[in-house]
Amino acid sequence: MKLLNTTFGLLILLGGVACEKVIDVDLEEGQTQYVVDAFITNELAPQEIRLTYTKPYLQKTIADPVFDAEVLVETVGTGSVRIFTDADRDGVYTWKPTNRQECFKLNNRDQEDVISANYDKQYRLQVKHGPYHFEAYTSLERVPRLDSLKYLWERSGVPYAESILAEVWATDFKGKNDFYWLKTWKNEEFLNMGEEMILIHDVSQEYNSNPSLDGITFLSPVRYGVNPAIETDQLGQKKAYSNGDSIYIELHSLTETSYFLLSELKRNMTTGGLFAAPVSNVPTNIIPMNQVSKGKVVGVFSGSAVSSFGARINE
Amino acid sequence: MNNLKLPLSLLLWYTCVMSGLAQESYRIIRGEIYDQQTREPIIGATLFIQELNDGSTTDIFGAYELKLPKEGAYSIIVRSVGYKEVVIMSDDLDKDIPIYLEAEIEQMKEVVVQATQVGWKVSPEGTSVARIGVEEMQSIPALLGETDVIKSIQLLPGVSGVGEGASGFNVRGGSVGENLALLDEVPMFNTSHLFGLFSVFNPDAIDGVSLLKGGIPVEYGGRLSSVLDVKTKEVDNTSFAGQGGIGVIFSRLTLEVPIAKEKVSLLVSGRRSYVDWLARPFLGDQEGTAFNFYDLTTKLQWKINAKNELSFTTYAGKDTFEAIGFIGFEWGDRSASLQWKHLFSDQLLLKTTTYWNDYRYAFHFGNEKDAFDWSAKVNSYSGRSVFSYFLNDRNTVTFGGQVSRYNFYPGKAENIVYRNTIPTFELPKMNALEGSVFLGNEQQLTEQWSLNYGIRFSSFAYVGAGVAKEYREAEEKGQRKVPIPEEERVYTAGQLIQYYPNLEPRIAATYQWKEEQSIRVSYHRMTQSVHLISNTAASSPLDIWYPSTNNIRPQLADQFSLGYQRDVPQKGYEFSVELYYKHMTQMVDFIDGADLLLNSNLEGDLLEGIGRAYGVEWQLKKTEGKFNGWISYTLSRSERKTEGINQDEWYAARFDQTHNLSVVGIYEWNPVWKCSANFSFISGTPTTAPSNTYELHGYSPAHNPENRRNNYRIPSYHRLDLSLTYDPISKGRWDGQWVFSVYNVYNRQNPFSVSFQPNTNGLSSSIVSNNEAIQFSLIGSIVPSVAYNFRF
Repeated sequence: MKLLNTTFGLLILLGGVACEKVIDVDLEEGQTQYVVDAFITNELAPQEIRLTYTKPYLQKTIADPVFDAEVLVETVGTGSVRIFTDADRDGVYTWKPTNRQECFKLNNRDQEDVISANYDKQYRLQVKHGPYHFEAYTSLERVPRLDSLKYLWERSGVPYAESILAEVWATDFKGKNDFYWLKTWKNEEFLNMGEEMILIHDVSQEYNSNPSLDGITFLSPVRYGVNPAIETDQLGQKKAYSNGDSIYIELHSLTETSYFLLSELKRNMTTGGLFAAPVSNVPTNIIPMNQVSKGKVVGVFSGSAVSSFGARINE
Repeated sequence: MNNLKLPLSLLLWYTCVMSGLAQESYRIIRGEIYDQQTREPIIGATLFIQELNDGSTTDIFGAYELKLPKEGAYSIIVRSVGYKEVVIMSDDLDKDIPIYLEAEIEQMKEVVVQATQVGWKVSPEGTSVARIGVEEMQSIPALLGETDVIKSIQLLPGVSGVGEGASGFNVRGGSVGENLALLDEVPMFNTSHLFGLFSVFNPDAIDGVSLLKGGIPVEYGGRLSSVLDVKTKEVDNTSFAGQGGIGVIFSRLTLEVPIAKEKVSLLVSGRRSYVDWLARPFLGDQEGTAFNFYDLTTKLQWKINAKNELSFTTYAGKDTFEAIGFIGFEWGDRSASLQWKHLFSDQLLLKTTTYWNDYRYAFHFGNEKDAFDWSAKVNSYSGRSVFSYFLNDRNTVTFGGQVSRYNFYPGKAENIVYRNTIPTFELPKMNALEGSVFLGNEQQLTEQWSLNYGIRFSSFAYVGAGVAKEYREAEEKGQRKVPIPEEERVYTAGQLIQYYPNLEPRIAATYQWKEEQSIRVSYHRMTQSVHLISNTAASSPLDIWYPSTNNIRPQLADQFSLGYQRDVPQKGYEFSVELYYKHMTQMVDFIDGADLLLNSNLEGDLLEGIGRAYGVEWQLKKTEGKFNGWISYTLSRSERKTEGINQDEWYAARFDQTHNLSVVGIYEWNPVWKCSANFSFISGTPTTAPSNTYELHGYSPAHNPENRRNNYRIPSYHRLDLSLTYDPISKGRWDGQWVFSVYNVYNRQNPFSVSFQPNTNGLSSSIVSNNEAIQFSLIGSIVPSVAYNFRF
């Protein structure tokens, strides 16, 4: 639907009469809930789980952190437990693996087409705070290597022909239902617009669209997904790549659950314009474990294996 | 409902028979009234029997029916606004010789009134039935000076649009897909060009339109909210004629060609937009941008003899929107219909229509290297016969039936990846059969009481070939349902998957007194088995037409209405007020976050709910004098209730508009200059707004912890338009007219939608939660325009 809206934007340029403006609105207040922001990876780096509270939609300040919670991630079956702590009391609970052996492990597929039995059940998150108790499950699935990055100086038929256009190349694994998330940093700044959130099912950004699309090179919307979504920002700063810029790309594997949750997150933030779909809440995979916790939590627990690629654009 | 069937048929039989017995001392005279010059039927002309102080009016075909005592001669005064009055003796009235009225030149210029203008008689149907003639439409200021059917009916009480950019129209709180829009009896799936700025009905090719909102007669069905009956014009079969216009966005041309004098004639009417040609110099290097539409309506009419008439109507229209050769949309209907009117006897008239319609909608992006093409279509084939039996002077019985076949192609995707074509992915074709039989009677019980009642039996069959899925109930209501693989059943071609029969009783009673006032009460049931699935703010070209299946039942609506009409003939005023209440069941609703495009489990995202809509509509009309126009105001509510949505409580429907006010004023200085103004005010429509947000991986999604739906109203919509018409008195055959208009005079940025989005545009990723409410306006400025219309 976003494409439709983008297109409509162009129509508006033609007509020259349509407009968008920010308006003041008075929104009703909703109840406060816990927010679990838990993305873990197989990297040898500090693993962080952030606990905060929800806040009014238009509030511009940082969310209130949740202090003194009990946060741990357990390997299902083995019982091995990693305890996450918030030493600096900012709501970010951290656990640091000291060597490769301690890191979160990849959940390998036995065969190309058969996902393993503990898909989405490899790791269990537990969060306790006062009477509230939540749990969630995930697993770390396979991720392909990023092969190369290409730059194009000119390309017809795309919105900004003058700029440098980057294109990342990678090949999906054979076997259905691989899910990935492509994240890009330009000059060490994360591309954080909703449109720049590139979520991939096998090779395309469409979920369940075409069963024959598997095990091949990512489709072009994915490959060009490493470019900033807009050419210049509201302040007139150029966002598209220029000579000398650095690009850093990470490809994260996802489970079907986390792919779905992140797709809903993306949809939630990118709806707008003429054919806007109505607001719908991002579902959560955090499970309330007792009666008092019901309806009290939002957020995502997701595990990823990561492959990355970095480069600097040099003419 | 079955228990109603028997008493109703008995009642029908009894009233027919009884009134037939009682009225033998009368005779019925039928005929038609036409414009002498244009040979078009005159709608709403009155025939007044002086001696009896009684009379009748012509219907939309210009046909009248007059009841006279068997013996005696009577003088009949025939009047219609804008025409010279004639007096005809009853003995001279003959069904085979139509009455031709001569236009009263001066007066015709002066009076631009509703086509249903009936002088001394109040239209008994009140606001439930609205008719607009092309003349009247032309007097209303329009966007870019272009007369438009849908924009005109949106100024009537109970009818509205969501705003500029929204296709179609909404009637009494119903959605766009709940209107049966007929062009010469063919249902059109798409009613709009340019994302709703103009309708597909070319005003030069039509006579007028009728919009039925309440007490809908038995011969119509298949949609819940209304019937928009558009008739192409009677083609002039005596001389060559043409008309057209040159406007800013598009031009139009209509030709009427007599092929065999007074027998065979042809109408060809087309429009083509050229906004993209005009914009080309400003587009620079954005080659491949196209933004256009065309439509072509043709009608071949053959008056075989006094008893037989054949007409063949075709329509083809398409909108194309292509942005810099990369992204594009296309949508449009194509249809053909053949109609045969046959008069078996003075009492029995048959109208048989067969038609074919093909509605396609498509979307694509990419180039020759990488591309994605999506397309969908609906094909329908139908045959329909309607008999009108003039049983006696007090009863006109209508009966008949219709059979339709639908083929739905809900979506097909073709991909090209790096010059390699990937096998096509296609949602399976779906087939359905729809049938109906109906029987109704229009009955004059007494001088004061008249009834219109009947029953319609409609049935819908979802048939193979196809695979029918069953869905597992979601753990919580209002969540996505997943198919049960072991319950999947394969059906062969023509095999019945699901059958839905429905009985639709209809009744309307009118009590009229003093010839100036009347009260009308009506009830109707409508069913809808073919659904427009849309969960976006406005109806978009990608909304999916989908049949009822084993998981989706037909939608039902029961509507009650009560209206009062009063005419003040001395002063030229008409007033009407109508109350309505509509109860809807088996309504299609959506889970939050429903996925409609290429979803092979679409039915798992659909829910069933109930609905109710109620309101009161007022209209005050001034129909005579140099200054005329109308004020219409609707106070209404339209709500839905679906398990699992909005905490199981009632919520406002997307088209709920509390207040809807239209004021139309037309002033004519002299036959050459005329000005008009219209003002609209519509309450803001509801949308779902978030109350909360949270921080997740640097993102700040919109969140609604109480799961409220449509909990916020966008700002209200109001607009003033002005127009000035210069119509110099023509000296020859050519008659030209200039229309200068200003749309959105006080330059208001009317909201089309309000969306809630984080503003990360230009902000570094370390800042979170810069959420905003953004208002989108499609026409956010004053739009002046000029158009030239001509006739020869």
